[in-house]
Amino acid sequence: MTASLAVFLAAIALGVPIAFALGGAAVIGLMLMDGVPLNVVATRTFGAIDSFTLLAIPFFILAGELMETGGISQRLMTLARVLVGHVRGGLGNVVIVGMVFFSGISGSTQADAAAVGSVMIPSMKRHGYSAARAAAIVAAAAGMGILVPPCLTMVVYGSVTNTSIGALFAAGFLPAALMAFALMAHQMIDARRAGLVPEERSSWAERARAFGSALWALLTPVIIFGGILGGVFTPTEAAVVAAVYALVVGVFIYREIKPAFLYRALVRTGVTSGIVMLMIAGANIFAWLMTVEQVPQTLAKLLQAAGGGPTLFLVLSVLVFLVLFALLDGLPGMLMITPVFVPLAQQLGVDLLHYGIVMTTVMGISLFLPPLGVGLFIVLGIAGASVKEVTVHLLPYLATMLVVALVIAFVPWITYVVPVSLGLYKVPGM
Amino acid sequence: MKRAILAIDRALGLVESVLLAVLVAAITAVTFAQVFSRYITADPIIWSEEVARYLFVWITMIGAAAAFRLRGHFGLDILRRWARSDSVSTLLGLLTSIFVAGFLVVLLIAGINETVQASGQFSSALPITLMVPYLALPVGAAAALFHLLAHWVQAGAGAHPLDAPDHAEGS
Repeated sequence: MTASLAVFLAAIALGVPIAFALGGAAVIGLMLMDGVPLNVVATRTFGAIDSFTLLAIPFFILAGELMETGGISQRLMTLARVLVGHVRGGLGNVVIVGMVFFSGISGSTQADAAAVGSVMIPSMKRHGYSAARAAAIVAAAAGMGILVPPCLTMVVYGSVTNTSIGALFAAGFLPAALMAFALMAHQMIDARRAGLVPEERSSWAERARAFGSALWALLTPVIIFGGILGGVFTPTEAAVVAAVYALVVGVFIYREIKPAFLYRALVRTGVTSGIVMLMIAGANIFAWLMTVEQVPQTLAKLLQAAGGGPTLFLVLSVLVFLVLFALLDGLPGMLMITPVFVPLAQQLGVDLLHYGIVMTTVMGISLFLPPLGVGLFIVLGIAGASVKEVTVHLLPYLATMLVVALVIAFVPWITYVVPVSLGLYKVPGM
Repeated sequence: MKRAILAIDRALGLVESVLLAVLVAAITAVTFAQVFSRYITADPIIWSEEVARYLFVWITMIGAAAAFRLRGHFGLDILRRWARSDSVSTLLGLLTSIFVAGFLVVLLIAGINETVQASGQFSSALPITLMVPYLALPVGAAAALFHLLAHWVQAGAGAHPLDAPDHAEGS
């Protein structure tokens, strides 16, 4: 056990890409075991990729790439502005509400931050927000947006842990709403203190026009959730329908998708899928080795011997996720830790749906955690602010988010209520 | 020699990009056709899921190889950023490259073995043997090894495989 785990940690420290650190450490572990042929590397890699559920990944990536045109984010932000721009906190609220819309059509948090940031940060700067304050609000909102389904993290978590992706999506709604309201409240107090004036109230005619113009984009989440939650589509089918829908809307209605754009979107989808899937394959080989060597059982015994149960484990998990996902860009960090932590959670009786939501919530914070979070740098690049300037504004938001994350971690009801009432999930032992 | 390797590297990158675009378009079309046939027409396609899964294996392996050229793989870079002296960062780069290359060689050999074995297994819905999807493994591993080699040729043996591209032209 110790050999492959030590090799893995050393490889990560050296800077070996996660997929290869996982796979390479597993190879060394296999070599140390008698009678296991190395061909198992090929069969486990093939077995990990050869999955219809995971096909949702390239389709959600493709749908996101195709929706990532300037026109769609502009339309969604205009809708958010006419709806909540006049409330105290003005543009800050527009960012948060707009992020909910945008996250509802895209599965990638980094893409959400880039799309909403590039529309809203310049506009906030024009209205008297400092670059650092604008960047902080976009970063916090994007961290909340990861909980709004569809979410790539949930698709990957669901497929590698055999948790229902539909249930994970449904479970994300209430935590996302909680997070959004907490951020809006925080933001309103902040804006009042800074003396920022809201926008003028929009007329109902303007609202109707903005809604009409954003309607085609807003139908994407309706297709995805209506399809999955209504039991019509599997997540993979919903994802492919969303991708084709995005193509049709982009080509024929918004007329923004040109052949060169489409080619680039297809290639980028292939490359991103390859990167993600190779990590999943590496995690699959490594997870198999961890199971064979009974690592999670050993760790669970150690934790219990030290007097810790599920509560200590959840607190530990939140702390580990917070640091690890900031260091390793979320998804790679998740794939690196699931082979050990998910079986450990099972040993300790932590429900995997709840654990997945806690993991996703913390990831939203980590991705924007100064000084390393990868999402933070996207926002800073757009705003033209330094890490130091933005940290002053961002840390209070992240603290609010961490409090909400802990509430979500210790009140599992928030996770369960939506999927259970929709009949998508049955909590074990209830 | 150096110029030849870099020229092949560029050509290989272009082939990968075109293949990826075609394969992603194909997998989308096939899967969408499956959904369409299941819900709209009364005559569901039975072979589409298997085609999609095998296309996905090819997309993954080619995409993962192409990601080498575009330096798209994720890894931790703290130690490298802290490494002040050139000799330390050369050592880090060398060790990382050896580790990555080692795994790719294992994947290449294991992939060839499994591809040969799969030549006797027939697919359940298609008139092909499982050699067709399994072949993606050695092909992808070989392409990735070639990109790694080209990176060494261009940037020196101590260059870190995760380092920023200086010859990648977008994607």
